[in-house]
Amino acid sequence: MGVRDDLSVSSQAGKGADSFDQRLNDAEARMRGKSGKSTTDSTGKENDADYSAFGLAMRIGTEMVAALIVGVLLGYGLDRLCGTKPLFIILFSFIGGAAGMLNVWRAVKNANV
Amino acid sequence: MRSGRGSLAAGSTIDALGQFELHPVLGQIGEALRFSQSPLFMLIAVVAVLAFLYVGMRPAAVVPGRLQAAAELGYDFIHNMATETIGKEGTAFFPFVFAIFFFILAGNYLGLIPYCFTFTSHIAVTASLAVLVFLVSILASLRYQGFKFFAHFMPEGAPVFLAPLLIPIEILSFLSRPVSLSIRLFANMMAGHVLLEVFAGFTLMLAGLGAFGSVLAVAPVVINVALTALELLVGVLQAYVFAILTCIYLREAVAH
Repeated sequence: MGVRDDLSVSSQAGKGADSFDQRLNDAEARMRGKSGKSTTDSTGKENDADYSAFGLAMRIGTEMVAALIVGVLLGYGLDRLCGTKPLFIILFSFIGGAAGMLNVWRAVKNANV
Repeated sequence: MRSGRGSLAAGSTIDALGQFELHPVLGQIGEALRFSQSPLFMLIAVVAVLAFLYVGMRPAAVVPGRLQAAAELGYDFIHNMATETIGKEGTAFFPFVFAIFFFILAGNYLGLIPYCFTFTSHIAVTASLAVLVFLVSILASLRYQGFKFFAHFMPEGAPVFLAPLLIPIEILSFLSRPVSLSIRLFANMMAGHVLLEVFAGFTLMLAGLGAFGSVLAVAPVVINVALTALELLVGVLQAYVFAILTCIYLREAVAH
C-alpha cells in the first residue's frame, strides 16, 4: 500500500514536472516572441564586458607581468638545459613581454570602458 | 627629538610579514600531522560555505528569509555567470566554478576576522587553485576539441613566415594564465593584510609617544577602518575575477 502510494505520488509528481516544464517552455517561447530576441543572444563574446571596470583594472596589471615572468623562467630553464647561457633568457624575455602585451590586448579588447 | 623617535621606531619595528608564518595548531595532534593554520582555515572555510548553503536552504520557503535569499542569490549569481560566459556547456562546469568562487571568498573574508589566518595570502595555495583551473581547462579543451586545440596556437589568417614568432608568443600567453591567476589573488590579499598590519603598527608607535602621540594615533586607526572596508571589496572582487577568468578559460576550451 505504501509502495502504491509512493508510486502514485511519484507519477503525479512526474506528470506535474512534465506539465511544469511544458508551461515553462511555452512561457519562454511567448516571452521570446514578444521581445523579439532569443535567449542565445546573451551567450557571446561581448559578455566579457560584464565584469566591472575595477576588476578589469586589477586584471591587466598582472596579465602583463605574468607573461614576462613565464618568459624569463622558461628562458632561464632552457639556458640551464642547453648551456647557452645568455641566449634563451634574452630571447624569451622579449617574447614574454610580447605575450604580456597580447594578454593585455585580449583583456581590454572586449571591454567597453 | 628626532633621534629619540628614530630609536623608538627602530626598537619596535613593524613585523608586517610575521602574520603569514605557519605554525602547527591543535597541540600534539597538529604537530604530529604538520597541521598548520592554513589547512585549518581551509576546513573552516569549506564548513562555513556548506553550512551557509545547508542552513540557508533548509526552510525552502517560497518567500525566502534573509539567509535563504543570500544563498539563492549566491547560487543564481554563479549559475548565471557560468551559463552566460561558457555557454550551454556551462551547467557542467557550474559546480566547479561555484566551489572555486565560494572557497576563495570564504578564505578572503575569514582572514578579515581578528585572530584568523588568510590562506589565500600564500602563493602555494593560490597557485594550486590556478593550476587546477589550468589543468581542467586543458582537459576540457582536449575533450571538446581534440587535437584541434593545438591549432589555436597559430592565429588564423596570419602569414606562415611569422609562425616562428607567433607560436612562442601564443604559447607563453597561454602558459601565463595560471601565473597571473595565482599572483593576482595572492598579491592582493597579502598587500591588504600587510597594509593593515603596518597601520596598526603606526598606531602602537604613536601611542608610545605620550599624550600628543595618542591623539595622532587616531589617524592610522581611521585609515585601518577604511582599509578594512576596502579589503571587504577586494575580497569579493578577487574571488569574482578568479571565477570569471575560470569561466572565460573554460569557454575558450569548449568553443569549437
